[in-house]
Amino acid sequence: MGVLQHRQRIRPAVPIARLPAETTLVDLPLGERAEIRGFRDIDSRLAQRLMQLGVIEGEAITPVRTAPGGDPVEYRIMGYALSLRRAEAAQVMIRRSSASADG
Amino acid sequence: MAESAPALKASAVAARQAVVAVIGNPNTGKSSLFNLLTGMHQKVANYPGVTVEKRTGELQVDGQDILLVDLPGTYSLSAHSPDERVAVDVLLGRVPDVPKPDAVMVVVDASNLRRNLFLATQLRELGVPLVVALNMVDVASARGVDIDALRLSERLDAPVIPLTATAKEVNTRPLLQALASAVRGSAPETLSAPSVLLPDVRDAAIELAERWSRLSGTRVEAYLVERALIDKGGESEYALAQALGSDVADELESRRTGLRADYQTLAEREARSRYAHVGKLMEGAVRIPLQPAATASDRVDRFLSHPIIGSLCFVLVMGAVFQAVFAWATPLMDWIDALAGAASGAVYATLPEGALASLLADGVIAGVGSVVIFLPQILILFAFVIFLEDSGYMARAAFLVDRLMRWCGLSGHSFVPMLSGFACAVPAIMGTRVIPDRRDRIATLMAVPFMTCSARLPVYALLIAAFVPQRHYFFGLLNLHGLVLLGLYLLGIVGGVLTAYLLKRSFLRRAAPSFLMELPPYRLPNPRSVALRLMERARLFLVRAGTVIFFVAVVVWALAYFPRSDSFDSEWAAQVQQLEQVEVDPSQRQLELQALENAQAAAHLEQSYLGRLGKAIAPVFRPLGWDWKVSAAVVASFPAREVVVAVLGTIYAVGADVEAEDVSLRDRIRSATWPDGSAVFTVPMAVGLMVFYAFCLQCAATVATIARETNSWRWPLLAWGYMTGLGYAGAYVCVLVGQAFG
Repeated sequence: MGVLQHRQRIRPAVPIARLPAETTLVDLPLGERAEIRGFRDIDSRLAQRLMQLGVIEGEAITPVRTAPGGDPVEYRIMGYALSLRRAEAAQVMIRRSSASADG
Repeated sequence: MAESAPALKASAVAARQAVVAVIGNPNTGKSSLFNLLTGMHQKVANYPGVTVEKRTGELQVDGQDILLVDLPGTYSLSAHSPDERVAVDVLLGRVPDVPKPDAVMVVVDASNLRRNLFLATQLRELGVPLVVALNMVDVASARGVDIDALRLSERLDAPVIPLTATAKEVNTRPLLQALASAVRGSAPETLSAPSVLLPDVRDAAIELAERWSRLSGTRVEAYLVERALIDKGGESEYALAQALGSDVADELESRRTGLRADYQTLAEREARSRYAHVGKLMEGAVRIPLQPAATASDRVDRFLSHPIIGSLCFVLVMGAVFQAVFAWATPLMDWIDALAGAASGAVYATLPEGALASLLADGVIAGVGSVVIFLPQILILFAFVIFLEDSGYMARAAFLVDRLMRWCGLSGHSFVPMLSGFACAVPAIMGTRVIPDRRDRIATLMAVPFMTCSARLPVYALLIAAFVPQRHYFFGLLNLHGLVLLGLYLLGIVGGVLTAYLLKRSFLRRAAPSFLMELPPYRLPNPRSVALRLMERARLFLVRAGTVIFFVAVVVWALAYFPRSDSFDSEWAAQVQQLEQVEVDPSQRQLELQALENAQAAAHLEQSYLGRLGKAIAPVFRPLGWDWKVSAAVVASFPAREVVVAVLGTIYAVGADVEAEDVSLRDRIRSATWPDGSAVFTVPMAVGLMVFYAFCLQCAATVATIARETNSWRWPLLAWGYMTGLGYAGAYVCVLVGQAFG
């Protein structure tokens, strides 16, 4: 039983210029799912590391819990748990979507 | 010998040992699998120039000898630090002592397949036969993940072998057979493998590599160039620039511009196309339920990561670690101490008095004792550390305290090593290997020696009891002795934190500090694997650091023992004889003999090389208010600070086996005077001496361990010079303040 997790992503990339005020991962309340859109202007190595860990356009991400003091934050992505500091999360642009299915 | 040599050589050729590199993401159970396959047949060394351990193990499958080379856990082949470069260097056969692998085994976490296959697809493009060890299928199936290994294997064009390395009974046969056939089928494949994800990048890399090879006359690996193109500013680019000159960077950059597509960097292109490719590989081969079943790990996590309950558990766990290292080790250490004492006594009882007996008893046995005495703390700390790491809790602990550690420039990973430093710096520095980032690791191991370790306590106890008046405050709840001790603890913490902070601001600065950390699922560690790693830690300490510590102990013994002169000995022997002729009752005589013996030891130490060194160096310490006796005691305690009490005992002729709480030593110190009759131990001088001991790196074991862990003598020498200078400055400030208010 179960449904395949991996679907073809056909949505084209939205040109940066037409985007509303940037929403980033730090704005996302705990437990709410969002879709990753890309990075703000960050160090290219950090961007590469994040992408290799699965923080990549189109991927779904959910903040699960925070450490005492609200930082760092544990996220669920690609079926595993990843901890990011708020400073790093603030560089990841997202699209909040309440309509998307859980997974 | 001469005849058998050719025969040996021939047999070595017949059954050539094949090399298989073992690689995988962190937390995939790679070391458990490695231990399972090779067992005790392991060797651990260091790769040249980096802090990464080179672990190799041997095994045999159907008459084929295989050497497994374990590579550090990594999420990808792109390298941005020298430590990360090791993997690519080994895979390409660029490391001097490691032959180019005939095959690669990638350990993959079945419950976290997508992210794990990222690395596997990178390895697939290396042109070396690949075997995929699909580990932790038990966790995957508990989550309801269903994997068709055969189909996955067809898609990856590499055998995929499911197993659970931590299970009680593991059938490793299929994996071993896959390794053997991968090794046999190994042909010199070229890098023109058609199925690469970025063929244009690969073509550009091949072209550049060919041109650079021709120009330089040395072989330039195309894969290295490919990585240099993708990982802009990374280690591969650096390696190429080192080998071929700085023009390389410009040429790479101009190529990158041509290879970018849709304003994406090559790193972006690689990550996107690889994850898209992984998605296709998994389609129809892997079923992941929409809502994965909550495992036991998730339930534990809800509890242990809870802001309040989790924090309480954290304090309890850390308290237990600290208590264990600090207190549980003490009986064992006392036992080792007593054993060494008994062995020395036995040597003196059997051998005639002289240099040989003294060398054996006070040099060799004491030296061995000073090495072995660290084992209980090392074993206890590492039992905890390995258990916490393997169980997955270490990452949660780092998660919880990251905020706290961040303001001194470190991350949550540094907490456990820092805490252990309050018991003993040696296991704590060995424990810094839990810190993934090299710069954080070095900053932490430079800060750890400042923490007030148990060896500083006797020095503090002696000096506080002698020079700090006892006063009580708040109805006896607080007393001045305790407050001074607390102050010394705080001084150590401030020193360590500032050191880490300054290092992270200067030498160890990094452009974008980050704390990307996977929180792996909880699992029960495999006892066999824990035991193997524990034994390995102990062995490495004994071999690497132990030899240095032992050597230093023998040198210090020689400095204190020599020179010997017959006239000196006979003079004292005459005095003893004289005493024995006087008619007194036996107990009185015993006391007088003891006093004479102590006086002889003091006189001998004064004319020994150590005493002369103390006198020669005394002018350096004169501004701190130290006379030659204090200087000699301080110099003698550089190999191990706790020795100072025994040396002071000898110098002040109360015997070397004195305790820090001893009243007679305290009185002798208090009444010590300069030739002009003024007291040596004034309060500012004594406080300065404590500050000196708080800062100074007087521990050969720590120096040797830093050298071992950083794989260089640069950091230990820097630490030693810096901490000694800080100690001197601190003591001098105390004297100055004393003069100003005196």
